[in-house]
Amino acid sequence: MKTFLMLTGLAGVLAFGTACFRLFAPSDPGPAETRIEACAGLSGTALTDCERRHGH
Amino acid sequence: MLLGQRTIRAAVLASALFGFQTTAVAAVACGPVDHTHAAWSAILGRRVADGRVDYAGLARDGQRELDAYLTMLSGACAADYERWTKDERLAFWINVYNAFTVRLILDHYPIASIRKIGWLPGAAFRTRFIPMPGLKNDAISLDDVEHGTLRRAFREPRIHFALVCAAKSCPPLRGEAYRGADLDRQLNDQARQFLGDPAKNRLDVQGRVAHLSAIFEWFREDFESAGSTLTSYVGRYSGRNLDGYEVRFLDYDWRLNE
Repeated sequence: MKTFLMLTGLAGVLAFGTACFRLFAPSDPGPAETRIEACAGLSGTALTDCERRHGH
Repeated sequence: MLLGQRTIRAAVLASALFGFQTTAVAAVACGPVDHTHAAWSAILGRRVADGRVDYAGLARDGQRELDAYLTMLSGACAADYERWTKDERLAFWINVYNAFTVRLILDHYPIASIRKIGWLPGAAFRTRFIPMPGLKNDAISLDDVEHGTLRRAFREPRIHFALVCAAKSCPPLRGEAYRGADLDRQLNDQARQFLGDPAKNRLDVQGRVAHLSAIFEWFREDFESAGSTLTSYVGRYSGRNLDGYEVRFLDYDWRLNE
């Protein structure tokens, strides 16, 4: 019983910590300061692909 | 379009409750975006009056229509996006913010305030519940839309008169969608409405004090980077010269905008 309670407690702490980590992690930094207007607002590979298509 | 409405709702619920990113962005195919945003306009036209939202009515019989619209937004793809005009992109992101905020509220309704959502402060704004695989390769949060996308990439301070975070002190939710073709007129109109509402901004002409929304305090740099002082920016939309006015900021009322 004691072991069960300890494991349950540990799992709870782990789950709470994970949730906190996700919440307090920096938000999406957003698009880099692209100078290509057509790509403004894109992020990640969508931005990279857009810039490549527009010659950067 | 492979992204289902049920998937969006599951993503909203799971991330708002637990504060982690969902995997709802997995299998998605691109689809066209209707730049008239007619579906959103139809919902707003029926469920918004004087900037207040009939969440109860929406919860009762408007959710399927809303989810269909959200599915269309989430299905936007980069190859199309690149061909949109700047105002179409701006209108898209403003509508994303407002429509997904309404979805989030509906998933917790009845609720007294958006700030009651989640276990930790600001959870509603930080959880990544908005599937946006084509444009962001990921799910994003309301903060990502506002700070990471709109403020950073577009530098248009009037967005602060259009983004509605479901609180009474927010700008009024417009009774129609934002559209690229009308965006300049719509944003000017929002600015005048917001500044003309004495519950949100008041001018004491005799005492020469401008009692402004906290929005002007939080985003002061955005308004001043538009090449003006805060008072000259506000004066432009309130129809009054505010040079020499003292500025005080009002408390923000976070109760639900219903």
